[in-house]
Amino acid sequence: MELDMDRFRQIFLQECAENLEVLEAELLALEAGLADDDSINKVFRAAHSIKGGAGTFGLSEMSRFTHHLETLLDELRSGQRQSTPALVALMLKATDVIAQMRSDAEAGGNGSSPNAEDISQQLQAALGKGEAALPDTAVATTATTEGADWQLEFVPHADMLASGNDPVRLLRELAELGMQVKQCNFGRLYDADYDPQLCYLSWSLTGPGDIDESEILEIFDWVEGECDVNLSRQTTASPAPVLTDAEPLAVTAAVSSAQPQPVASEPPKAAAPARSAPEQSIRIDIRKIDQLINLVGELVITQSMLASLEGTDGEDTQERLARGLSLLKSNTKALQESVLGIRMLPISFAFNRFPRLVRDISQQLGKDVTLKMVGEHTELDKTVLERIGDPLVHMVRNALDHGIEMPDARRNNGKDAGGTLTLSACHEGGNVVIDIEDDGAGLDKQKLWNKAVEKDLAITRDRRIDEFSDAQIYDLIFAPGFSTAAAVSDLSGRGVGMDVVKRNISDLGGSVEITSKLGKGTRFRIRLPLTMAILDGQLVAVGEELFVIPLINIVESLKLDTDCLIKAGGGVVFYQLRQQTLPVVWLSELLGTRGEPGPIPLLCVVEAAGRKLGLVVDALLAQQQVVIKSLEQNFRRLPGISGATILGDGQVCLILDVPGLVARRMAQGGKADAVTAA
Amino acid sequence: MECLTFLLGNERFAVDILRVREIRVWAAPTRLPAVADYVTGVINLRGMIVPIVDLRLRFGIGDANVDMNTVTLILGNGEERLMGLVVDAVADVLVLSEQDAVTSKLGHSAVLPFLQTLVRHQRQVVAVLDVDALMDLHTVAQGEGDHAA
Repeated sequence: MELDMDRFRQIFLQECAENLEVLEAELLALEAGLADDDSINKVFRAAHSIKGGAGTFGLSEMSRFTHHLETLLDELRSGQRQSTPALVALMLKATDVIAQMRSDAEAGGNGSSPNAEDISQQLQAALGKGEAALPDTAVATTATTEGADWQLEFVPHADMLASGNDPVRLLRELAELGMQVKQCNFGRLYDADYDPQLCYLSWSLTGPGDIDESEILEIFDWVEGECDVNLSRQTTASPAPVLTDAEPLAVTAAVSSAQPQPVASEPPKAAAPARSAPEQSIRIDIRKIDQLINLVGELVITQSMLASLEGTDGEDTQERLARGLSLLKSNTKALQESVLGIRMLPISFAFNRFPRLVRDISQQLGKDVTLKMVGEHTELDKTVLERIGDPLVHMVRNALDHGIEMPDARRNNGKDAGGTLTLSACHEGGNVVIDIEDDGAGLDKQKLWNKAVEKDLAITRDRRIDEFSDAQIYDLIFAPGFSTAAAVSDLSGRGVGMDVVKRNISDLGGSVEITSKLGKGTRFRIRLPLTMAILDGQLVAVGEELFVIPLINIVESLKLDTDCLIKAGGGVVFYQLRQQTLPVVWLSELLGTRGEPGPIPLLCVVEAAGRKLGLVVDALLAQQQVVIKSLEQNFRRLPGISGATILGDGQVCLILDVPGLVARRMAQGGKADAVTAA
Repeated sequence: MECLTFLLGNERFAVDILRVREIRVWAAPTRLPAVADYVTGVINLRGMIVPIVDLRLRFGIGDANVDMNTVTLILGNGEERLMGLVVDAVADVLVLSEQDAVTSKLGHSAVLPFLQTLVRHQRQVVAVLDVDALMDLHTVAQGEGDHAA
């Protein structure tokens, strides 16, 4: 009995998540004035079923809370009350609270949320006194006695303003959380050389202890390295040490209990630690299941057809066997594709969070941004989908914060005051292409370059900007040195953590490409493999060993013409392929393979991150789909190798990591780069 | 402690039998680039890719020839990471007790870091190896045991 309840609870939690999505989407539509008559009904039904389900499963706090929202929605539905922006904003906040309760319940808790009390009071106030009395949602929340109060020291570095970060904005955001300024310290103001462009002030704030630590820290996300932040609980113990910008933004929270227990803060985006890992599950379109059942049926028929041949040796046996085998082959392929299809989910699972995110961030920034989404039904592997979520959020935030200008600046440049952010996804060959495009200010190559020189990135040493292509300069954004650094004001810190974004995407076997027009906008194009389990590979022989090169990376293969080889200094070799000059690598040398080279060396031209490289191999063999196996599971990552696969004869065959090889070749290349770029 | 004993050249070694997942006939592994020379490659163990260390090369004992007796011991650590060890032959299973321990540290220098204890058994001294040390990828990767030559 107990077990069954658990299962139903899981189903409820899943449905609850779906209902929350409906709530959020419809409320956003309502706010944008895009809602039809049906919207309120939908929102009401979603709230109603959350309330009912929560009650059934003993989540009484959730049920009670949702009840207030439902009552409010009922009044809206029956026309007793008109929808106002403030009301919709409040309902969105209530949705967040329910979502927090749901996560808590999923993690094994009793479905509570730290913000429930506050929002619940606001809902009741709205219900009781009508809309006129609706409290301003930006008003600081009342302090509760739960936990010790927060103490926050916020000390901007003098040059923080230069990066376009306004302390007042941060204070306003803190006020929204319920943090209040206790004291403004202007000691530094009396320094001898007063410069009006620098910030000399610092602030001490206090706030109720029930605010989530990560929420407070998240506000300082964009100014990491530009200010010192010291967050602590009010305590009798010695104060926590002030952090300097040399350290990552971390906080020691000394709780005023008998044993002060230092708690290292998690990265702000990390969710509250789950009390127990929720069961991994996936919802599958029933049509996909039907298709699978059909295919298995076909397979059984083929099997019995082949079985009937056993022991017969008539004339046509050979022919029937051949027919059976070819049927088996096509059945297996179809079955494989369908089974993989189970893991495929529409990208809307990742896109769904963006309407709300874009609304919240653009409101915070005082910008007017319209979000367009295209191709939400494009499917990709669940694992890829889960891991692309965070990089996408990061890029969208960056586009909003730094890409799209303030309304005034846009008007001055002859553009609409409102900006547009477009998220689109589509299939292209065996890949998914995701575009994040804004019509903002665009990237300024010269400024990027200056920044790179200032940062003394390796790539810029003794080189001039005109030696590089646009793409190479835009790629500077992804250099580790660009992250966390104080950003150049108007071109901004597009680089905040972009190296991490790039690494995440590379880890998925994907690539990012930037195109930009100054004053017109920027587009990030992410290319991802559909799945991480299988790839189309080209088997190549090097000496007596075999390797797989992912087909997606291969541009062309041709006979190596030794006349076209150009030997540069330091053992660097290039190949003159028509108009292009490609760096060339002998795989036999690189991988130290055994065996004699083949009589006719072949050049396999591969491409990754927009750069080409020639790989010399001895023979091209079959092209086939290979199942990717991890080397790291039992061993470790090897340079130049992305994984392994098992061939038909049971032998292990290594898969070449083309992006890795290209990157390594470029890093070694030194001057070689300039030749290819020219 | 029950131990599986095996031979490298003429020397007798042992490992905790509870850590031995299976004993396989030697099969040619797929070579890996940029690894220590005693990591002879990887094999396919029912769909898993398992690295193979030739213990004779690692310890520099005997010659790394393959004959009918050559076997691969598949060892597992606590987290179920697997690794194969190529040895000359497996011998019997012994029950060893601490009373049999020999204090003096004998044996080849390349073996010492992996030595758990030396045990006298009948007229022989058996070197019991520490499986965790053998499976430590850090030392495998660094190629500490290049005494093979």
